[in-house]
Amino acid sequence: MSPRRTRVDRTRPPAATPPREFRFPPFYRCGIAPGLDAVIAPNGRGPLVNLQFLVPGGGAQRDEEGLSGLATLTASLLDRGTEQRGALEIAADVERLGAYLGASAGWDATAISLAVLSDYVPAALELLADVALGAVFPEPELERVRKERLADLLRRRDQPSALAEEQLARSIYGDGIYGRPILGDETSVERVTREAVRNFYRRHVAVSGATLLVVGDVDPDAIVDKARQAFAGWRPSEPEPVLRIEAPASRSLRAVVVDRPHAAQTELRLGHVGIPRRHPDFPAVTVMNSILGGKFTSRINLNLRERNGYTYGANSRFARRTGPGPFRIATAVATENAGDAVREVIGELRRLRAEPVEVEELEDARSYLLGLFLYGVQTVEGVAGRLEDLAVFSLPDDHLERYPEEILSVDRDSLLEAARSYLDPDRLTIVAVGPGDMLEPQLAEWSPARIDPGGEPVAPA
Amino acid sequence: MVIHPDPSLPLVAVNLWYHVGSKNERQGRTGLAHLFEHMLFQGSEHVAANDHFRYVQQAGGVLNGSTWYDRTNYYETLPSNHLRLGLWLESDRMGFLLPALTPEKLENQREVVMNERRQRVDNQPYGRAMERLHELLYPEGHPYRWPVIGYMDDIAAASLDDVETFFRTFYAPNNAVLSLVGDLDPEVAMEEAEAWFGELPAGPPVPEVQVASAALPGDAREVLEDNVNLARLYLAWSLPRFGHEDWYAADLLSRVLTEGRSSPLYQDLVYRRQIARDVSSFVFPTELASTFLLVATARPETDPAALLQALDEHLVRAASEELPPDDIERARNRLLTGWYSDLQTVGRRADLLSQMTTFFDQPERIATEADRYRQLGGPELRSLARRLLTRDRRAVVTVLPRRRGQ
Repeated sequence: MSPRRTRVDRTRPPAATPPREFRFPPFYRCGIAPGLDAVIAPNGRGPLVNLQFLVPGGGAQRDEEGLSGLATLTASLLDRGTEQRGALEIAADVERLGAYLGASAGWDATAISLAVLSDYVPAALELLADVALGAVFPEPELERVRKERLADLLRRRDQPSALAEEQLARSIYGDGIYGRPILGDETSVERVTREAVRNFYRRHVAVSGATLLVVGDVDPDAIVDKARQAFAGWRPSEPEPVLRIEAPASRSLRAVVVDRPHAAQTELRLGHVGIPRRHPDFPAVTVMNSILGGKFTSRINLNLRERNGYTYGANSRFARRTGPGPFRIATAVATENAGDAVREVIGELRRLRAEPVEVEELEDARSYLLGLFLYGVQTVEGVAGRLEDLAVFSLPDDHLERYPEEILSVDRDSLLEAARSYLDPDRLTIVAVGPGDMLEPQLAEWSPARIDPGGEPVAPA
Repeated sequence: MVIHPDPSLPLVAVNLWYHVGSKNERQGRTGLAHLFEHMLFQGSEHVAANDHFRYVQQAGGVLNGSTWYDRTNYYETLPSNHLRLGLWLESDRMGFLLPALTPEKLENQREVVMNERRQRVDNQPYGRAMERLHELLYPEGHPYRWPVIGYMDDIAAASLDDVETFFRTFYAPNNAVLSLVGDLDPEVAMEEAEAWFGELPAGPPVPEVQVASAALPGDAREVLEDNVNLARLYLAWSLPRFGHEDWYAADLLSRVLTEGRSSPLYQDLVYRRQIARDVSSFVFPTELASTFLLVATARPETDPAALLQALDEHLVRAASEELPPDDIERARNRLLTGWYSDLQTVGRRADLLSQMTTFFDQPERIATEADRYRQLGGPELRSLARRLLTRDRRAVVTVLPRRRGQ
């Protein structure tokens, strides 16, 4: 190869070459046991496999009133003892394979996932089935996990971002399901009994409609046989009817200050109720949010960070949940800029509702979202995450194939319509976590209530 | 320059390592390398401020940069038909940065970085611990003594002149490695890179970093109070550089001791005695020396002194008894899973290639890196603990909950 000395034109972006087509990797669905389907995406980019036992419909939305944290505690206990193995044996068997096992509950689902080298898939599958089917929730393990959770709750009070997120949810949803802390609080965690855990498992985890996700370097036929053997003992109960979560009554614009007198900075959140993931306008909302606060070059980030230097970064998000989850804007600002930052954010919301976005802005957002989609399928976890969405939100199997066209079909009119329907600057809750004495005067026009990090009211100094 | 074709997805990673980081700074101007990284996103002669982000994102790409002790990296993963865009953007800021630099941009990014420091350090629970730990571990004049993000006063003091000098000293082709990974034709990629970067002139030789003689910290200890509810211990040792055989032994030992619920420290401190909420350890892959870090968070009712004593018992045992082969096998298997997991993305592969090339001039080491752990067993790990993880070589920072009324 001889160096070519052609002069390049640096004055404008070079033209792209023709794009290569991309399609989401193929996947197959088949029955493994009554009430249990497998979704298999053979994907040979490395000797890795991601296995996931996923139960949609359960999750923290099923926590009973007064027992917040039950779903997440149940999940934490799944790998702490089965009919065949004690907690440390499970850990030893998983880690001997070099595997990583995690059990967790979100709002909408409980999941047990295993990342493992492909050579060890049969053994990993057997372990996954043991944990999913055979969990026995030993009393001493519940006490252990309870103590760990109480320490975690104490620790969360130190974290300004965690305080801000929880306070925002509480302010938006009040006593509603999404207003409760997913990890529970001191009182509810103390109240959880082994009986409650076992009930939760029987009613919301060991139920029909679960999915076994297998993504990575596997032979689909061989894996189906193995999975049928491993899950032969699966005897699920019928799931409870789908939960309908209603949006809370909206309230007028107001502020809450969580007082941390020594804080070096202020964590800010602004938000209100959003829309369910399955809502037909969700694609329009996704593109709109990308422009508002979903990427580095979003309006809010460029405004607060690049124009004003108030912050290291700012972003916005519509939560993806089966019910109407929150829409929220998050940033951490120098405390003396908190009031101005809030005003700028509200101004951006009003602007997005007032006039259509620029054509280029729309095109940028759409191609960025499609780029992220491609970027995400590089990893087995990324592919599994997309397949998880199908199961959790009951989306059709061709959803992933249609995703690009759904995003591309969002135009300036539908985006403006989405902004007007789903952004409401007059119904925001503002949460500021920082030095109360400095924050209150700046937020005076939104009549802030002041509380301490434990949620108790504080009188201004 | 390193090229690694992989056509499995229509993606290409463009990754640049500049061999400059916080170790190349001087006292009074700490944080300059990182602040400078921010300035590289503020446009260059042919690219307006923030257009770097805009062009990459509108092409469907993902991008960022980061600064560490020894290096600063800049990277984008793009749909592969936009390879040229990445080369144009990276070559423009390597060759044509200064005409676009203005005092206003610097002023703005100084504010942004000061807020970054508040967000990551000053307003984080335990945020100051790592800083103090390094100050105890590394003597005055050692370039790993100060934090990568820099001290607040130094960030505030950085001038346009500092930034320009930094660019002229460190930002030139002779101090950089370019890695291209993904859906590309190697010959075309080579030609394109030559076309965009070939005409950029080399800079002057990069000044060598002076390392102060390594006085041992001698079990230096400090107690910090912070707005936290749980006490936490930070123990650190300075070990041989990344690439040294001791480094791999330290990395493996760290994983044996604390990774996973089968590890001895987790089982003893978190599971059985329940005196810690968590325990973890790491060894940094840095070039002048490496820092071995052991961190444990106490339970609300635990006396931190008892926790330190328990950690000490484990360290003494690691130095005197051979670890069981099963424990080592487990850690090695986990390491392998993590390694393959890392290699899934073109971006991470490109970054590793840049690293191996910058530090060792051997990109091919990426293929044999995992094998280095196969030759290590009980005797090597015990020897490492006995020789290097000793009390006189370490520093300890204890973070305690702030007493009420303060």
